[in-house]
Amino acid sequence: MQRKVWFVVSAVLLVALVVAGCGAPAPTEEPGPAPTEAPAATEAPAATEEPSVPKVVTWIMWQQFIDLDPALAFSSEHPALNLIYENLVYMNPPGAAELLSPGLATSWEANEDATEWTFHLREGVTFQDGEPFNADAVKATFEHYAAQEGAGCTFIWGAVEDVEVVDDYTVKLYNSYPAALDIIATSSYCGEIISPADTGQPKEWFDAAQGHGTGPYMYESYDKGQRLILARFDDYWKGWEDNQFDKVVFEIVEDTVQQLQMIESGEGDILRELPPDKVEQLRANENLKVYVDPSYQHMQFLINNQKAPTSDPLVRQALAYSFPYDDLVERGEGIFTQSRAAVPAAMWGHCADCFQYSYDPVKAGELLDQAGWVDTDGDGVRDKDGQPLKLLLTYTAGATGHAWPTELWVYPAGEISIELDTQGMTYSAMWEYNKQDPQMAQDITIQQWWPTYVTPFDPLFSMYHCEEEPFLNTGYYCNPDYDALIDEADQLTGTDRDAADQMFQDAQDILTEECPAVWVMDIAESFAFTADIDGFVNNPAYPGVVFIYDLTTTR
Amino acid sequence: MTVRLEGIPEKPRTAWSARFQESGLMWRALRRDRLAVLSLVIIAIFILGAVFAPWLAPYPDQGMGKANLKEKLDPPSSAHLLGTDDLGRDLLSRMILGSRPSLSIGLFVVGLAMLIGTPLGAIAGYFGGWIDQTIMRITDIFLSFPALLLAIAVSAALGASFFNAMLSITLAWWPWYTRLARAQTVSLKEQTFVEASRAIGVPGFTIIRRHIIPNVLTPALVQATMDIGSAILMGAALSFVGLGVQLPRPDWGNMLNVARLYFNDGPWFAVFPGLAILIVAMSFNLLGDGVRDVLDPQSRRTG
Repeated sequence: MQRKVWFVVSAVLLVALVVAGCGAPAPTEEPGPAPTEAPAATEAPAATEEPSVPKVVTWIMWQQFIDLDPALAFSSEHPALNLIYENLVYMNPPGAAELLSPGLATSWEANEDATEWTFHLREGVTFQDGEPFNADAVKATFEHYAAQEGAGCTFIWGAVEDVEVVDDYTVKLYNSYPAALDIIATSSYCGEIISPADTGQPKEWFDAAQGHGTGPYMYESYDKGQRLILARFDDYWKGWEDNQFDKVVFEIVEDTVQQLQMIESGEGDILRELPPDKVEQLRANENLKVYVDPSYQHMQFLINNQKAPTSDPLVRQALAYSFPYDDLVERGEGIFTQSRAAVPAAMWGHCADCFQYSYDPVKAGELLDQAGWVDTDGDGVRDKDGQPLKLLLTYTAGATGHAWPTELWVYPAGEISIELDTQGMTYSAMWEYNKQDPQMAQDITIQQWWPTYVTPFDPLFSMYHCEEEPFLNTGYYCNPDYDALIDEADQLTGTDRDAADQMFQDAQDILTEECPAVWVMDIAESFAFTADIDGFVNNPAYPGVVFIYDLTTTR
Repeated sequence: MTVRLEGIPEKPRTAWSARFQESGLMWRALRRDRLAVLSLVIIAIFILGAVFAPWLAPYPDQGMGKANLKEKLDPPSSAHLLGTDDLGRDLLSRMILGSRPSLSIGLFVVGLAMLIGTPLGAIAGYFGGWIDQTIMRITDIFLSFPALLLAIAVSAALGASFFNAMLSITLAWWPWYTRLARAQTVSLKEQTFVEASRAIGVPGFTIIRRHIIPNVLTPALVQATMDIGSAILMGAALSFVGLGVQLPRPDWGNMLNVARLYFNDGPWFAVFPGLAILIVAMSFNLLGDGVRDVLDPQSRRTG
């Protein structure tokens, strides 16, 4: 076939290329099913002499860990932290009979207006450092979170005013306003209970991969930016079976091609965020299992709302009309769907009636004309008062979910005479850059969002509420009326969810009008596992987290 | 009181004009080297292609980045002679438009490096002493880093863009020309014609301009011709790691980077940009060889 000829020709040429010193690592994998050694092991179950060979699962991590303090970690650390630490309560995957299931708390109740919450704690649980788990430990954890004064993810506990130790295994939380603490306690971030011996330690201490939870895995070794290894906690309260994993290795690999090579060769066991146009190829590989599930994740371009020219809402709306949504959805092959407003479609509080921007270059051009941006000098770029309409866009290079929308946007923006100057960086470098003074910062940046816990308040608050020091609101949007509305809706969540739902939708109407961001796409969750691993259930409340304890292997 | 010296010609720019007179001879010599001529023709074709890129590209809009997803990764056909890429864009158009940054980075880097490096080397070699020490120790600092690594570090610090990539490669490149020029100058300055100039009181900078640089230029030019290919490779390498031309604007290096992901689905996508880099870099190297043989009597082939 034509393809085969192509392959041979190109393989030869690529080798020549590398010899010529281009420095490009040539893809070395063979087409078709790779020669595999791994499955052979499954043939000999008799050889399971348990103590000698630890069962190791290798997670190919898409990004390095930024903060390892559970109070501050707010990026891609949760796949590890959610294994080390445990929550009081867990959110079940959609479709389960119950919304919540017990974690370190066995039961809980609230007073009528959701201002006082009592949690009954599990007995006989110890932390990885030998400390007993009890009400004092819970109180110490809350003090650790409170000490951060709302930094990181700790804002989720904003309602909690006081923590009372009723007895060894009962703790009572008092809120300053109504809040659904049982739901908040499920949070993937800041839901973790930390050993009382570690609470109060500074950020640097945690960042050196230290800290103890009650979870099934504990820190073994850490090479920052390279790999993190967790080993099983032998005294874990749920106990251990033979077919579970003894070690978890997080291998940090940011390059997509390398990630794919690792999962296809069996060098890695778990890969998340598959490039959409590679899903079919991975599905066809019998050594892999591929999961594509709904999620609460979405991706948006946050526009700088403070700095000219994008401080003008007309320019922001024009940008929203200039994005080629259909091309992106087509390229996303079922993994990407166009977003509507600021809350993903699968989440409650999603605004199905909100206005949805579409690709409309004519309308975008009119808005820019109206805003006074016209190409007066005929150089193909609009200008106003001698300034060209040239916008700096920062994005995460290497991540297909970020690079694709960026790449697709530049040409259509150019067609309406906006020059998009794109700047790809690593996520951590980009975030540092985005957190500077808005007047010096980029014009547009990318923000992929997944929920802290399952509430529309989370994206609406984190990305759009006023921030004195930029943190996650890297579009620097600030509207006190909007803030008041979502705060009120958040307080209603515990008592009157329908009313809260409506108010969250009203808040999104404000956003849609003022257009602080271009809402690009909702992203389905995608995972590839080596075929000898069973037991994975995608839980969109814990995006990107694989509860390794629940997995079994035939190795 | 002026002294009119016999034998000093009216027009003092002897060394420069001699170079120009030589060029005719050079061309005649170079013409005998078939490989060099072939390389020259190939380079000329690529440069013409780059200059007239927007008119030559069959789909200039796709070349500049317009997506065309309906024809994603189509193999070469009559509509798309080299096939299409991951966004269904005509690969030939992308390659033709991508030749602009790919080629210009080579020419720019080498040109600028020569412009900075040669005079500095001549100054260092001619004056010697602390000036020489200072300049040469600075070049040592730059040369102590692997060139590609230095370029990557500098352009990562400056921010990824085509212009920054050019600057950072130049920064890694100029010290070689300083070294070369200095070595030549040290031997030149002992020669009689330079000593004579000094004896009659010609100022140092004038001597450098009139006598040293024209004589240093020959080896520098030979070096430059040989270097263009490497500079193009380094430019492609920077783009490949995402530090050069930013997508969707094409460049052979960044095309190769994207193509890695599709090597099984559409090998042509990786092959053609790779081939272009190979051919151009090799042509410049072969031409450089030819030019060296002609210009540099010391390494001229015998027989």
